[in-house]
Amino acid sequence: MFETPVLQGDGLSLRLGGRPVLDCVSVALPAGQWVAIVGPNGAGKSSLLSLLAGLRQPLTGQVRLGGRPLSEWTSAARARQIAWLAQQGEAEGEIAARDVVRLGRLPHHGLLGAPGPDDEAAVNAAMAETECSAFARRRLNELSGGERQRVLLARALAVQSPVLLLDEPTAHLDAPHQRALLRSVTQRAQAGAAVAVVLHDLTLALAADRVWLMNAGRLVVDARPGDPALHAALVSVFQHALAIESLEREGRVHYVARPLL
Amino acid sequence: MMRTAKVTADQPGATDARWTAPRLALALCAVISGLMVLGLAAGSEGWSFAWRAEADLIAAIRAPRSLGALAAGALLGLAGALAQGLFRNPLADPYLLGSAAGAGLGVVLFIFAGSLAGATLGLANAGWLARLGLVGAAFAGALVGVSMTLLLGGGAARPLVLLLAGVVVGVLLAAVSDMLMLLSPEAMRGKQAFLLGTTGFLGWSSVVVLGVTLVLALPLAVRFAGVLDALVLGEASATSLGLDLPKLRLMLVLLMALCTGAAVAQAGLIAFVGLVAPHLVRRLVTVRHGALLALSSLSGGALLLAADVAARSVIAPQELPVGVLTAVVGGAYLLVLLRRRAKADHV
Repeated sequence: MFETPVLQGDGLSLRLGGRPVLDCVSVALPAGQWVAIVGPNGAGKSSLLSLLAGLRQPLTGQVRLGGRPLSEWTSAARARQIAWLAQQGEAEGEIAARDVVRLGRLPHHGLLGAPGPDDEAAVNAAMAETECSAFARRRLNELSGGERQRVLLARALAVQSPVLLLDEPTAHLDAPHQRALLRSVTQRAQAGAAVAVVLHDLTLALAADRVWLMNAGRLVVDARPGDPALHAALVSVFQHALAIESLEREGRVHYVARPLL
Repeated sequence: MMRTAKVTADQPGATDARWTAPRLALALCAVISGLMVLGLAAGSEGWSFAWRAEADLIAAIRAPRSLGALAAGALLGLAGALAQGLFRNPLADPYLLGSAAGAGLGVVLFIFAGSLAGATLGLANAGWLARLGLVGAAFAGALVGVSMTLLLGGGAARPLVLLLAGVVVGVLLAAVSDMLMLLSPEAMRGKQAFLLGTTGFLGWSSVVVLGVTLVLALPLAVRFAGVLDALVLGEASATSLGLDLPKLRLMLVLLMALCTGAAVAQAGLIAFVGLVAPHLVRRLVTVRHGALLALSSLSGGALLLAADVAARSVIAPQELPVGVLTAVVGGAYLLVLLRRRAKADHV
């Protein structure tokens, strides 16, 4: 594990197809916390996540992992430190769900190596955590959207990396599995991992340790969920289509984003 | 922690009804053994199981022909499984990706160059050196063909666009081959059998060339099959797993081109074996790409050997070009696949 912040982006800019998608964004992802990345469509959330994962090169700026520029890490070492979950649409194939989860151990045993007992244990644990052991032998393309998402999430969890970057992991999940996902993410963070999650559901996002609100390629606010400045910015960025309300339950304050119809 | 699922992968309720990989491998080996017996017995005058009386004929003609068909089919099955995994496209096939047409052009160029030098080369009369030259030319041509298809299709991201690009490249390269043939009547004769796809000229030298290629390519492909597994997640996710995708993909494309080139150089343009073989395997088993590649090789070998036996016996004593048979059967199979895919896209 690293000292905080484990993953840091400084002055990140990116253009895709000639269009600016990120404009000088600086963020720090500390160990032991999970951060929700929110914003309207096209705000640059997924692009920021892919830069932090080292999957794209920024036009300007630099990403540092454990204090070292990401470019100085070998791809295998980086893959052991950062697990990245893509949006679901990309995954398609006829291999069994369990074999998909096993891919999460590839950074550990290498392409030409064989998985050992530790790898199998990590796969079992990840599948149990996302409740996908029951369809371990079914093919990925034969699963429902929610089942498939749980398998892909298990694949990312199986890496057992200190940094976890998840792009819309709650897509296709029903409410109990969304709640279970948040519990998993919270537990990973409490165990010392640095977690960033792109979310569309603002109520889920407001359960995070911190929220990064993005709009038009810029980081608008980086704040704790209870920060009134964040609530005001959310209402403004989402064009007054919602209101943030607080609920107190079992001695804890929860925040709810209520759509204004 | 989420609630642990009650059914685990090892319990009977979690298994499906498909075959297991070892069972399918055994079944394919049994089918191949049976077809080999038929291949040794199928002659121009019908079936003959008088092994001793026809020992010379079997050793000189039927055995190398059957073994050659088996090895060429195995290479095509392997190339097809590689293509489908590499391009994440169940419709990919060396024939449909332009690599077979490229290999064909390479062979025609080699024959054409030979005719300019006064030698009439062809599948029927090629010696050792010429056969190796044919493989080299076909390999280079296959690489050119698949590169053109990828360029025209804008990469491998859109399966049906890639397929269309492959068809266009195939037509284009075939037209170039035809033009070359018009310039050289001697080469035209050599090309005829090649165009139709035939196992009729497979001798022991072909068996060695095909066998060595298979022995080199199959273990290497299986060893690196994890790349194809990772590609199931998409390119970005595969990269996030620490894989150097451009290099690994290039290596597997080279292997696919080598397999296609070797098969085309020895047996001509045999369509659809590369498409159908992996499909048959996937219909029966759920396996990772390592096992899929090996089983597709077996399945491709069995398919071409069966086609060879049928080509020799359906209208005996006349013989059908084996490529015509595979085109008819494989073409029908492709139509069924396209129809299924179109239906699935509408759902």
